Amino acid sequence: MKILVPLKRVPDPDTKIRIKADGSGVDFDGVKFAVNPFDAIALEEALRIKENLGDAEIVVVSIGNDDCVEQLRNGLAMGADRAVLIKAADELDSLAIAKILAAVYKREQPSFVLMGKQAIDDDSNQAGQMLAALLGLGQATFVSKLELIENNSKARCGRETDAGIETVAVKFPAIITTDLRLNEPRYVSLPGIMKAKKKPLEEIALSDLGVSAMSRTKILALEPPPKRKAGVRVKTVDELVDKLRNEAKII
Amino acid sequence: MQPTRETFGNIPHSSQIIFYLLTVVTMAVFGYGVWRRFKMWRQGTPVGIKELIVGNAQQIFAKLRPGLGRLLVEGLGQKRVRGRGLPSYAHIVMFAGFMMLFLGTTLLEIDHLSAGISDALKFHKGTYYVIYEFTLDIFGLLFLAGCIFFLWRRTRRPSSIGHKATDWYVLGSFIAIGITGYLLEGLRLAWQQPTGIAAHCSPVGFLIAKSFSGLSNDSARGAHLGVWWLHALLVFAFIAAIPYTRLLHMIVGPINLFLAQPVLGKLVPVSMEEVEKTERIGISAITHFNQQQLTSLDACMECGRCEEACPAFATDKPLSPKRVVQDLKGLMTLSLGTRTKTAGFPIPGLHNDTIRPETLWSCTGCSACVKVCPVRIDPLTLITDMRRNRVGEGELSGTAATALRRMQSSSNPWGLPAAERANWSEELGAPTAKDNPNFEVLYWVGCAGSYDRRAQRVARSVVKLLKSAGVNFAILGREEKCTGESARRLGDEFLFQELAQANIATLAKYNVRKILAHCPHCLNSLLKDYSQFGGEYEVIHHTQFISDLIQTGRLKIPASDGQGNGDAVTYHDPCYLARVNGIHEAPRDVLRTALGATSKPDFREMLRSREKTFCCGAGGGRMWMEEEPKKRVSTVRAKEALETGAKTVAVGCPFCLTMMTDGVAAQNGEARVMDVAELLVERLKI
Repeated sequence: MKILVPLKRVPDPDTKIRIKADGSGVDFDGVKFAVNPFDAIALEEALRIKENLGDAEIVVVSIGNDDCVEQLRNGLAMGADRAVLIKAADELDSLAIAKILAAVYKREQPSFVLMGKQAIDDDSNQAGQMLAALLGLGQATFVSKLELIENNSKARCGRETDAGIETVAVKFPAIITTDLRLNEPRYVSLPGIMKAKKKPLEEIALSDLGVSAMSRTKILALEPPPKRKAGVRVKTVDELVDKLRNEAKII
Repeated sequence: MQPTRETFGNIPHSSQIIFYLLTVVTMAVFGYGVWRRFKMWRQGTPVGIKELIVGNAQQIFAKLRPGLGRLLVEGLGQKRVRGRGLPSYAHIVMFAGFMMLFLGTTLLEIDHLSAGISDALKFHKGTYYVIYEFTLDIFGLLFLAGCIFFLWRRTRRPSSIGHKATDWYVLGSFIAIGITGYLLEGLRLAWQQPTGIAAHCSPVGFLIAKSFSGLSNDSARGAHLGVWWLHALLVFAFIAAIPYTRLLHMIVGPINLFLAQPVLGKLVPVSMEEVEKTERIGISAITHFNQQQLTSLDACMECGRCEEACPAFATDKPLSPKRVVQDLKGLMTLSLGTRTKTAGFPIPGLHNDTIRPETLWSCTGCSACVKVCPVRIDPLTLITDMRRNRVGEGELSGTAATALRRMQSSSNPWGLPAAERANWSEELGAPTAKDNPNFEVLYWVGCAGSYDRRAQRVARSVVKLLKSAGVNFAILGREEKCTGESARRLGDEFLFQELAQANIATLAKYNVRKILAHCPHCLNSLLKDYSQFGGEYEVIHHTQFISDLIQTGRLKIPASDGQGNGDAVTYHDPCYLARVNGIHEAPRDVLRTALGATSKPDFREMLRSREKTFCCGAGGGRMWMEEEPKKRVSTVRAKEALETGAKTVAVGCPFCLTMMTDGVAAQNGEARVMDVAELLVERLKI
């Protein structure tokens, strides 16, 4: 069994994001980066599947510049067997990423792909679905429970939907995207990262992959959300009702 | 005629020869048993025992002195055996009896050997003999009394104490040795028939001899020989059994007292070079423990004091320090013993097979087990060393892992922006070291004081008090990072070292010598962890500093106006303050002043206080872990606090503040939980 896990390099979830003064993008000065937390959940699940089966190969892949090596090493330190870096320009939209991942999929021929349902930077939530469509594979998204069934030929997945947990079975090969409550990823310490340096990390130029990935979307401007105004303390319930009715006009 | 008795009197020559042959056999069995254990201990990583005897006599003595001191005070003096009520006294009495009998037997043999050289060298006579006989008679009774107490206690099977079939043999044979000893004396007096002081100096034997008065001299002699052999065989069997039974602690306990690391709250650093060389971090196999640690496993005789003191065990967590030590001892015997090769079954691994990960993560690092161990076994270090490996192998996940990630990315476990670290002080205007480089003392605020809304109020109170007393102080502000204490106790040594080195560099930049901290965890780390990496500071707790300000009059305390609310107050001692660093009076001093407004301050002590305090549940990185609400350590402790009837629970640690607040709330208690500094600010109305 081989599991492909894409890892995206994103700003650390605890970082406070600042927008550049001209609104052209995010100010990354002094910002620390991390593996997209949803991807880390996907990798953790892959590792647990491997531990359960006793044998499986886990390949982590990242798309971007050399900085992504940091996140791939992190994935290797968590327990992935090898890493692939697809060298590409920074700004790629979900479709471009899906096309590149499709090419990686064809090259690696994994049993299935486990990836985060979305990345915490742009929150697009599209790459997994697009990848499944491009490859013509089944998909199970927002998975918070995962179980291999029928001799590891299918996965029974609990999906988090607005109405509750929906359980679906998906036949391999397939694309499975992970939600928050699937697991809690293991912690990687410095010696773990040092040890992972011995694991193979392959770099492939985008052109060698035979994909011409062009972003079809363009970010025009970014702006921070408006600052929250201070709340008002009301003394009585009547005053509250009055304000809701006459000022906020919601009742 | 001088009072004396013949050594080996009434014992035929042939019996004497067999006796000495058996002595040799006994010593061989004993020696083999100890050597067998010793071979196991040696397979640990070296601790440089040989270096103890390198140098001139003065240097060697200086190196041996602390260990010898512990042997004297804690071994012979039984200092650490105290503290458990009746069983402690029983052990001391039994130990005194045993040692005196042992000494007596040794002296007798010396006398016998020297008399063999020349009659003039015989000293077992006259006044010496009288004192000797009388002393041994009395101490024999003490020995028997202790043994009988322990035999009785074993029949009641207290749960914390280990039970093995051989324990009955050990105590039974001790009692039999005592009784046959007295019988022997009685029978000897019956055939020897001494008079006057020579008879009365053995009061117990004299009483027994009276009951034998009907025996003819010959039958007394016959019975004497028979009992002598029984007594001798019992003693031989006991000596031979020492290394194979719980009695092993008689040998290994003192060895461990001599070798142990005596300071609480200290961990051994690991360097990246070591990790690269050994390709591992922490302990993943029994031989990775050091020689002293392996030795300490054999010192354990399962008295169970650690288990009774353990907050994790008390709240049904899968951890007992005694169990950890015993399980490791079992693994050591299985995997390093002489029979390992022929065992015929796979040797279990250390992690998972022997020690479960949940066991390791249950520890709050409160050090209670280390503090109460009579022979200085250190389960906490064993656990932390194993944790290091689990963290290094990526076995930690969940909220604690998130906290570590955040310490890495944001330099605080809450993951709040480093740039906002000093926001709490904005209104008060606490000067930073950058703006006020000539400060008298540096106030180390810590992550809780900086980011936790509740603990920020403590930090503000400290600043108010410092300002009110006109203290020239500074904070590091944004330049301060987490000390890394939680990371180190959780086992992430290198994250700790990274943070420590950054902080040490910052502290060096401002030439900091004296640090004031309101967090005992920061305090212990700055004091005992940082000194291992070149950061030497005088670190004091805010209650010590404030207590000093009060005593020197720098902090003006108004005379009592009787206006306080008069509520009962109790104080919860933080482990890392009271137990680990011995600071328990300063907080009480400040508290007394804080309560001084009332005409009748009502201060109530909890049952477990000062160095015997019970953990709040947040130490050892447990602050960052989830705990089942019904079995929380904090609930147990808060219950104890509420049982005093206190309406205010005072604390001296931001972690305790959080845990005790939760604990009180969990029981719908009405008490408020406050830092000592906050209560003083309340009194001073500043």
